Amino acid sequence: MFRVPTAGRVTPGRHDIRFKITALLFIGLGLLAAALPAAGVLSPEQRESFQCIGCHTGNAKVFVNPQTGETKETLIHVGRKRSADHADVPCQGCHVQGFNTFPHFNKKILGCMDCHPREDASEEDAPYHFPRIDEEFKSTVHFTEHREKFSCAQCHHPHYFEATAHLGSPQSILETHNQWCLTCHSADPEGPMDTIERGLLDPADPSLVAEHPWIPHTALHLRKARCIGCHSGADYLVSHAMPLQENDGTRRCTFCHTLDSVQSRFYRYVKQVESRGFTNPAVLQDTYIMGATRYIPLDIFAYFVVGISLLGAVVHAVMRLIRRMKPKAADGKRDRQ
Amino acid sequence: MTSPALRLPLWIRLWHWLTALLFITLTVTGVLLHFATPGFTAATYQVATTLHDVGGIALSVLYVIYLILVFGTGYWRQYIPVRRGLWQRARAQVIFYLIAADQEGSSDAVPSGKTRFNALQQLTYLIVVFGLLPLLVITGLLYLYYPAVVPDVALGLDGLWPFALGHYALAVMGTAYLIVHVYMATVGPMAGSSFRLITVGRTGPAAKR
Repeated sequence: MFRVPTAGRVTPGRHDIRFKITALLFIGLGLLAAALPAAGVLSPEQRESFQCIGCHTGNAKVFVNPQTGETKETLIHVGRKRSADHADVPCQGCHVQGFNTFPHFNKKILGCMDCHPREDASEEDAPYHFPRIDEEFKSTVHFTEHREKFSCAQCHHPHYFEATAHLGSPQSILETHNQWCLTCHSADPEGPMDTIERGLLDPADPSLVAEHPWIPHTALHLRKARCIGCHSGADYLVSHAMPLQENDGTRRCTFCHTLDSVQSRFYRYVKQVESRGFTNPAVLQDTYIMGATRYIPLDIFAYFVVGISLLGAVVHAVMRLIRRMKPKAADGKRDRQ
Repeated sequence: MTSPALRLPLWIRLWHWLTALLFITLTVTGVLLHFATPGFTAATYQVATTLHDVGGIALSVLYVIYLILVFGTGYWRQYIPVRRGLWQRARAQVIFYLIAADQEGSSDAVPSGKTRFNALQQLTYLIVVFGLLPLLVITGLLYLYYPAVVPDVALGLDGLWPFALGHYALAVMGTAYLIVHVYMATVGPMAGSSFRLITVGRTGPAAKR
């Protein structure tokens, strides 16, 4: 690095050039580190999160509890998080304690209800009625039977959750919402594990189709309808009331097979579709549902035809009665005209 | 309107009452299914579905049996009207029903000795038995075995809708026929004579002409 003096002569060599290049490199990095915040490339929160992502991406990031042997996957899919509803929430927004140092001790992670409804976004959160959701959820078997394991995060992954309105097509909504249930309620015990915690073994044994024998065309119904279409209340848009017993009215065919069909709910974000005389035209593009996708002109035809028939019969009967009641003729015989 | 000498075979009577029972069941359950609301049908929707499916299949089987018997015994000739003056005779029968329905004596459309139906009945029964009923059966079976037997898409919508609407329209016309048919069975100089005929096979003491 430094010029080695030689007797009687000083000459510039490769060592001088290496020194200069190295010095310039360090100076450049320093300037860059100072300039980046000013350029707005990384905010303080992003730099904080960047610390987490540095470990929680890549390969072989599986935590093994040394005492229990339980494994927990701790990878974050950054791309998915950045397109989710919590994209702007830094890691430390929920992972509030114990995560600034490694290893992570005395950890504390906020739950959904610790933030929602948000004070600074009350109008946005108002339609969801979060206190009611919390109350409904705590009355379900998911909470009462699996209190330690089951939380909001079991279905609504805090990293990747997207509200229904952001999911796009009805098919995407259907697949996303049913996947929450099928993570656990699947006949495949080797099926995908929840990233937060291992899914429960299937309570629907031997299969969902076998568990729903009262539904005609069972597999077709299960493929086309959301689980929560039947297994939640019909009163609210985001009902979390999941009845405990199978004989409590969950076999409500009329949840879907009616004009105000719950099946239309995940079509509410579809662009207005020309009705062409049908009720629930957006639903009809995918599925004809008896009782829900009715053709109004044909209903009017039905009322008219049946009405005229009944009216005709009544009028004719009255005419016959009147004829029978006519007074007797002079010869004493009833005029049978 | 029917010669007292004619007796109605047992198989016709059995077919008639079984079809009537099934048709009424299918009509009532069909109304429950089509006009369902949580308040109107909730507790009975499953029952209505099962009854409609089973009743539809039973009616289909019964209809096939009837076709075999009708063509095997030659009874099908009862349904074929004499074409000469058919519309005039039918119109005359309509007028007779309107103004002299319970009158003893003849109408202008006395059936011939070979058939027990007047012209209006022949036309109506021909359309119902060989037109309406088989189309109802076919559309119903296609509806039942959806989606295996219907196209995926029809005019940009789910492919079931033409068959569902066709089945419904035919059912509406069948319901109108049922109302008129039951009412017209009460028409005649002797109360209940039509019901007696279709039940025991003949009217009571010979009807006076």
